[in-house]
Amino acid sequence: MISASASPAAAPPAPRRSCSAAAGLEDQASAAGRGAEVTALSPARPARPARRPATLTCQQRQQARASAARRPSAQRRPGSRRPGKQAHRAAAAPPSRRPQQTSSQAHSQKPVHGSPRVLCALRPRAPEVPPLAPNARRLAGPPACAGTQVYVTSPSSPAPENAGPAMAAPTGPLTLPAVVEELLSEMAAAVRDGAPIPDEHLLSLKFVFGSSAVQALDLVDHQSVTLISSPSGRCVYQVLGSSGRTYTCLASCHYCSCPAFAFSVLRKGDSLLCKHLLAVYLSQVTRTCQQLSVSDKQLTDILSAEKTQEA
Amino acid sequence: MWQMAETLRRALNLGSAAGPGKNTAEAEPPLLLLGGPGSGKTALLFAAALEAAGEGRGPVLFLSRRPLQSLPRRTGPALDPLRLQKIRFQYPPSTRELLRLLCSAHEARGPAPSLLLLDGLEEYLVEDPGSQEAAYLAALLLDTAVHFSHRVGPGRGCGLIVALQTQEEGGDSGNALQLALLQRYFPAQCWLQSGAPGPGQCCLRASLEPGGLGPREEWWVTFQPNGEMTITPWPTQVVDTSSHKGSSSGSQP
Repeated sequence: MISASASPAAAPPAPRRSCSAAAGLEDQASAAGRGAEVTALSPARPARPARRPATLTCQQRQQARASAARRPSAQRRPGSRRPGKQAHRAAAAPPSRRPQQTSSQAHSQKPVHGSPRVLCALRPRAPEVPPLAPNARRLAGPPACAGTQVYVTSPSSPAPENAGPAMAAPTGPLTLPAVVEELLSEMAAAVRDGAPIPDEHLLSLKFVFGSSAVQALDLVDHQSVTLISSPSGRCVYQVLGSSGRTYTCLASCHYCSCPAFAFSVLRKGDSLLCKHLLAVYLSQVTRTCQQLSVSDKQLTDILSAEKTQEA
Repeated sequence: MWQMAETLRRALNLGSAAGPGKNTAEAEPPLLLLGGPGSGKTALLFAAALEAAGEGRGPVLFLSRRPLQSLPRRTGPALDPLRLQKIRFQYPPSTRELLRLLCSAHEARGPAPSLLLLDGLEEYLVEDPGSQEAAYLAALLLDTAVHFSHRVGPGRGCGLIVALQTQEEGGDSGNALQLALLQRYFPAQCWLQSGAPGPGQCCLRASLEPGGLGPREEWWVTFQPNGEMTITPWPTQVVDTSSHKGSSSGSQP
């Protein structure tokens, strides 16, 4: 069931032990040269379950993290293994999707792992997805969008799926689930003094949103979020996507003009937010969005042009 | 409680003289009014417009594709000309025009509306049945209402009621998808259904579902032959809006 990563200690998550066991698990995984997505969350720090969403037990979170570590390999081929390439697979999957993930480590102190990228070539089915078409991740098969499908990791690890439905209940675009709201407000409180986002919040973010969290943090780091306001008081957000395309987001109600939103959030209902919307919320929390003032007329044009940005 | 649903509820309760008339100023979630053709959505929308106009909080913006053929009549002093003057009717003929109107809503000068009503959303959606277009329109409606709320000032807010005609029979899956999408943006819904027809009357059952944050309430809406609309709570006992009754004794819509 547990597809092996390089370290034998990465096998079954310790049930009911302290969360540092999972942290140690990820430490091992990172030592094996896995994707930086795990390292970005500073596994050396034990998570504090008291601040976690109440719906998840510590065990579920450990299992979720462990499965996140295993996810790239487990999901790609459930049941089939390529001996000798597990570690590479686990390592290669995340970086192939996030070419700029290293910058999101500004929030942690882990060094950059450049080596996993080389291993991408070993994986013919690595999701080399252009950021322009995130829905292609889904077409590549269920594992491809493991990031956004935080509720479903693999058939072999049901624990996160148990935790998933607690958060997968459709609450509509107007309100985020209470868990996410709580997490965002906690983050806002933590970064009030200009401190970086605590790692435990990053972990929670990663747990809830999967790879979108890393991508969103990346966007925030690159100052890609702009709040456009006009003298009338109406405002809109624009996010510069990793592809160079700008997407318009309405923060009052969840809407983004990117195709991932239309597909994953609206049509499929799998994801709560696209990475651009998440970046908007994160930049609100960290107060790092750029500001731009335009005239009323220009704002009208920006809003009118939203629609035409679907790929 | 939900001010917007409250406005509609007051409009619906006016006929039964049971409305407590709470004038609290909490956030007003948008409301989606659903029903088949001829189920009285426009009449109810207009009743809500009159109700809000009488509150004196600001003008009411009534958007529709086609002009109202006749002003729905209503008993009581609700139909006085002063109230009618406060309702601004606009008839964007196409989706593009509607979008333009919403996008440029912040450019308009003058007092911000306290209530935004849209009748016949389906007529605009039929042009672009894609989910992104529908979401964009719904999101813009919400964003416009939020902007008006900011302009109206803290503690008052602008409400939003949108009427959507649904198919009587199941309809195709595309409509269901669109409806599900709209329900995501409008957590509060009020369904209008044909009830048992009385002699010369047209009875409708209106059931308000505040999106899970409040008890479901139902009313009977009766249209007399002369066009008058009377509203009685259903079941016939007074609906206590402060209680948390699970579900009323009616059947599911």
